[in-house]
Amino acid sequence: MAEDMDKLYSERLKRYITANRNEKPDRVPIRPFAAEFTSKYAGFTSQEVTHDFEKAFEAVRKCAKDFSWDATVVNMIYVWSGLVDHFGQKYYKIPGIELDPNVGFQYFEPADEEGAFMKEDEYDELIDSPTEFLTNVWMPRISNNIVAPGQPNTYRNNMAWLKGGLSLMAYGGAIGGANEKLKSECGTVSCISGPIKAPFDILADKLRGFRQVSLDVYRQPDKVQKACEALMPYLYMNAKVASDPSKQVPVSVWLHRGTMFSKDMYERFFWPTLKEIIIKLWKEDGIQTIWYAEGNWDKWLKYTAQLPEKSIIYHSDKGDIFEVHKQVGEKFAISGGIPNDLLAFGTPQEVREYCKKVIQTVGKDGGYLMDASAIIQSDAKIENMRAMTEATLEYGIY
Amino acid sequence: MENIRPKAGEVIPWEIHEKEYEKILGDKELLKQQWQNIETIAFRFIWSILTDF
Repeated sequence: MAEDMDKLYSERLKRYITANRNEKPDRVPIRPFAAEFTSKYAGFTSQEVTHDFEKAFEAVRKCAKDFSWDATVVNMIYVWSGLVDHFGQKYYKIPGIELDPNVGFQYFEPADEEGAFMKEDEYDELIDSPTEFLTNVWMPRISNNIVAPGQPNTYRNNMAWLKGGLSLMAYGGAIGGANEKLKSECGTVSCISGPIKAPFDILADKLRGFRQVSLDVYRQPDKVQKACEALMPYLYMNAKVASDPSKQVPVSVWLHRGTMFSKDMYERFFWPTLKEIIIKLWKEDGIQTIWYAEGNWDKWLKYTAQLPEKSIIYHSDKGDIFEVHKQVGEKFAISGGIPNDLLAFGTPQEVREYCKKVIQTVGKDGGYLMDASAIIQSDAKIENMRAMTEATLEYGIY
Repeated sequence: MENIRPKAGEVIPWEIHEKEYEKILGDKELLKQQWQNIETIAFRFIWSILTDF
């Protein structure tokens, strides 16, 4: 790596870590979570970046260079559809196959009990042995190729397991190489390593489906609670084994369904097991979590505030970032809060003014990272992304 | 059907696999270490399909 790029990377890594720890760096770091915006900017179709991860990495590098990003996700179009094609998941619609090549991939959630990937009477089986349930019951239902134990084996089943495993290894290895190129060619930090999902979100997103779990919390609440408790150690371990061994880069939790339920249900089903995962990662492993609060999580701020100081970076989406700062800004760093509709429909001057306001209030004492509210899609205007960078470089210096 | 009940981080625990050898004449720890290395990767495959894909 060239000496000047090495120096740039070191400065940015220090800036990123310092802000994540809710301290004051030399400047507000620019840390966008950008998906299809990168392909638009680099001149690729959505199909190209979804199905060819090297093109996705290249698009991110082009943006990181041109917009001076201090840290970013090496590929925010996280579902590589090549793996999906080999393993055979049924729940994705892929650009270039069932969708227009310029549309982002879509997740199709089962809408009724018949389509649910886990049936209403299968909670005990999940609770008894989560990994076996996923392998023996869930995967044969979500894949076009996998057959359940006891069913006649097929060539396609064998090949799906083989090619699914090889695909993940190929993708994982390529991500390692892409992280190095992001560092050596752009001086940019790969900003996350390792995923967390809340146990309740796993039930709602991937196992039962939202409509089905909404009935389960009334009809069989004890089983829902026990399922969340059973999933917890596995989801913790899944994040831990994928986390950054140097503990410099946080894991991220993508928060989904917790805001759609009552206080009593949040307290019983959602919060306790997610809280335990985050606390274990921080206290036992020294790993921070990006609390990516998709939607508006302001009503649960008093719960989030119970987490240990510095254990999370609170990412504000549709919530009021100024209120978030008031309530939890002394304990945690905050990121995001620049509205995606402003980036899509506003003017560069409006973007500059909004970024300035956020920097001078939320970021006035450090502990703020510049980013849009939600993952940046192809609707963001290039000139507005440029304005976000320019405003940070102008107003974000301490 | 088998009911292995693997803990977090494993898919077929060493304690089960160890009993499947008729005898071990050499270094048992070497066998265990290599077994567990791939156990972690296999665990990650199953759970990453759930959480990432």
